[in-house]
Amino acid sequence: MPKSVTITAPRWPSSEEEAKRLRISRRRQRELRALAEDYFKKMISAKRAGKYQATHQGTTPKNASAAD
Amino acid sequence: MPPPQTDPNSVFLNIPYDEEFRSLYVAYIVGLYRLGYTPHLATEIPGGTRRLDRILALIQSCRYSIHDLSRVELTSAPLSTPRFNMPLELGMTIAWTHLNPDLHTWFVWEASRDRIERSASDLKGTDANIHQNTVQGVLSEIRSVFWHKDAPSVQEMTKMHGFVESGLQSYILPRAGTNDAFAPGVFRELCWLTSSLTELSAYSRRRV
Repeated sequence: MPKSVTITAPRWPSSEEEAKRLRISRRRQRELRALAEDYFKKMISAKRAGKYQATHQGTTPKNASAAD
Repeated sequence: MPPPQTDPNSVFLNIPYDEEFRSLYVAYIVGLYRLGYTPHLATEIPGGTRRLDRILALIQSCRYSIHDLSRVELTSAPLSTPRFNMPLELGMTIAWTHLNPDLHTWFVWEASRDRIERSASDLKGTDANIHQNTVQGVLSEIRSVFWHKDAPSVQEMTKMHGFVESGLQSYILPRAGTNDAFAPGVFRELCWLTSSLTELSAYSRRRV
């Protein structure tokens, strides 16, 4: 292994390229893609909920009393 | 003879195909995809010619290779035999790189530094990547080797790893009717799932 290694710039293949290379049926591509999308939907809502909590922490909503 | 066509973002993974290595295997796939590189395994090449010839052709077509020697050990008794496949493929790669230094770069990965000093002292002077047999170790080493300014955090990749591993267990393996995570079809589906997640993660980063 050379002492200093020059690394090629990263490149993310398009889904068409990967589908062609991996030779997975269209149906299976869709199923796995749906699984991935589901993960991201959950992650995005969790992130948004986290941001909302962080923004509103320690504050009382406008129309609520402290007793709420 | 003209040099073989090399994909500049492909990485040949010389890793042990055993159940105990499954988590780290998934970590290699997730880490490489997330950083913009494509993993390749010897199992993905179709049969026909001699296995060693196929492996050499795959090494030659990849710009990089990672040789994980962390499980070079004796198999269990009574036929306890050293596992030579990984060092053999590393040897082939070193020879290929020696003849064609511009076409290939190889990396040696180990669980701990003292193991490599004992098992392959000829590699003295080689900066091995030490993963300590942990998912975070593999992801962190991949990140440091293939680092670029948009590299995701190890924490982010660890989360994705957890999801891909559970998808493998509950979704990919049952359909494939096997428990072998290294089977060619399973490897391809793992790659597709991870590549989809990587694509979506770039999209979600812009949205959130």
